[in-house]
Amino acid sequence: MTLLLALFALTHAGYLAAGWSIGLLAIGAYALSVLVRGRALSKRVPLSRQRWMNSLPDEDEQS
Amino acid sequence: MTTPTEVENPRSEPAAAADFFAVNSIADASVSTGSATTKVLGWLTLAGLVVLLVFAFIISPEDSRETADGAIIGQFDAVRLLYLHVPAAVFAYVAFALTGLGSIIYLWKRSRWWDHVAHSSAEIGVVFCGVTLLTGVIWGRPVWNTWWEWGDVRIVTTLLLFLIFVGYLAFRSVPSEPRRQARNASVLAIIGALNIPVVNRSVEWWENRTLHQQSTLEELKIEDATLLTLMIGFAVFGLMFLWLLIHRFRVAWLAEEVEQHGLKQALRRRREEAQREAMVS
Amino acid sequence: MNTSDATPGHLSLMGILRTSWHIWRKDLLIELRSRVLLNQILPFAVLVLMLFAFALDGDSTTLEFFAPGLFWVAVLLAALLAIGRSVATEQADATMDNFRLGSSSPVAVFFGKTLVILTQLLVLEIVLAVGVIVFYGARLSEPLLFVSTSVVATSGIASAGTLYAVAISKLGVRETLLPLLLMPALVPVLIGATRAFGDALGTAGVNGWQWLGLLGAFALAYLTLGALVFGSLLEEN
Repeated sequence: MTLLLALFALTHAGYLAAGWSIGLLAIGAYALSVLVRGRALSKRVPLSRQRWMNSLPDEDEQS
Repeated sequence: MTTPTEVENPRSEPAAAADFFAVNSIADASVSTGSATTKVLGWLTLAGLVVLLVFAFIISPEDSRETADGAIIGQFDAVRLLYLHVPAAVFAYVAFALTGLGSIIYLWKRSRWWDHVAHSSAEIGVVFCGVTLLTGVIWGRPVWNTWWEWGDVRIVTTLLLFLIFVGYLAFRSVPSEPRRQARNASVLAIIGALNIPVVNRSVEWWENRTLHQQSTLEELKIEDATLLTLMIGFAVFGLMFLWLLIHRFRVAWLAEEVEQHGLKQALRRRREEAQREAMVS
Repeated sequence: MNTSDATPGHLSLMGILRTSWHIWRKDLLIELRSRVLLNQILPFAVLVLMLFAFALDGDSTTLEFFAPGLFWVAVLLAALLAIGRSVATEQADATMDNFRLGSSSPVAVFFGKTLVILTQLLVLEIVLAVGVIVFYGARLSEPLLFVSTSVVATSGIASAGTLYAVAISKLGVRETLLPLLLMPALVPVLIGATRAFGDALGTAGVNGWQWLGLLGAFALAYLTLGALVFGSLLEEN
């Protein structure tokens, strides 16, 4: 709320609001799409192959 | 790819494969790319974003200063856009550099792990680069009085960089044999990364009338709060980049698993069904 | 590509030159038979010159002033067709595979292909040069700079084009992907060649020879890069 009030008192408020909201929304939408893709894919892979359940994946053995 | 059950084109029957996996999905298991690490990272990023917003809009001052003849000049409140624009730009470049590095290591070690890093990093880089361009255009209107300026080296270079890596992602989105794709994509990424200095130089010589701040940090006449806000911006974008990279990497990893491991399972299941049919009859 | 199974003769400079020469001759013979460059790409380039004249309202001062840039945009558009065509030729008779199986060095294949595109584009540029002189009223004030810029800039276009075209040659969508990948990489060439031509045609007060240096560095960089990575692009899994 304070943020919103502060926004109205700014010069170039429209540009500021547009810039920040477009920027953050774009990154947020991308983050969401990554999560959704991840959920859809992890349903199709056995847990034993999702190594981050235990630790971070290390060097790929297929290399 | 060393599995003996490898099939020429794993994508030939996606519909059938999806059908199979839907039946066999593990209903109650953890089904996301999240882990303890990413959860902590994610919450830190969100908290950092709130702090960044507070600093950007309330604590940091507007940019203005008095010239010798008494006129007040500066970017005024438009400077608050830079707390988003500059960190996004810096981490876009970091992401593309990581793509270049990952590609070099892939060509050297032929490890799929690094190929996934390169691919993931490029995708995030394109998103950050797009945000940089958008916020830059919006910032330029009130400050430079123009949306776009062809004489400015940095925006032209950034646009080209954006297009180069959009091309890279377009190449990667076309289904083809995974190892050839990884190899050729690596070459493309390395050429793309090498292009950056070349493009930058040539644009600079092209029109030597740069509008951009020679060094943003100097130009802002950094007061403590401004510098601090910018640093918070870098920290938040660093965390965000890491969070996105880990998640995107796991998506790439899973996609490869689905293609390869899934096929093995499908074959096994097919075999079991055949045996069952044989027993019934 | 595994160079260890190549015969020593192929690895020597003479071997590379010989193979490049063979590829060059073969492709130009194919071109002489099919006449795709002559009957399709050349008229297209002239058409582009005409389109610019319409877009710029047929204003002779504007056209003369922007002739250097328009010339090179026309070259780039035509180059896309020529490069796509060059790879399509390879696809059709699978010569790339033959060369690989015959263990000829990938460096030779790369140079040969680059030479083919270079030759075709230079022929095209002669026609375009006549075009900008006749249609746009351009005046040749420095012929030597004009010719050397053409050769050097086109070497850059041909080497980068060959590299990108082969990287995507196995994809079904290569016709649409090639412009997206190649054009951003060729921006330095467009800038440099336009500037150098500005000097050569007397429309810009710049030192064209300095720009020629940039173009030379670009061409050299892509020729080296191509020689280094072409092997892994031709590699069969």
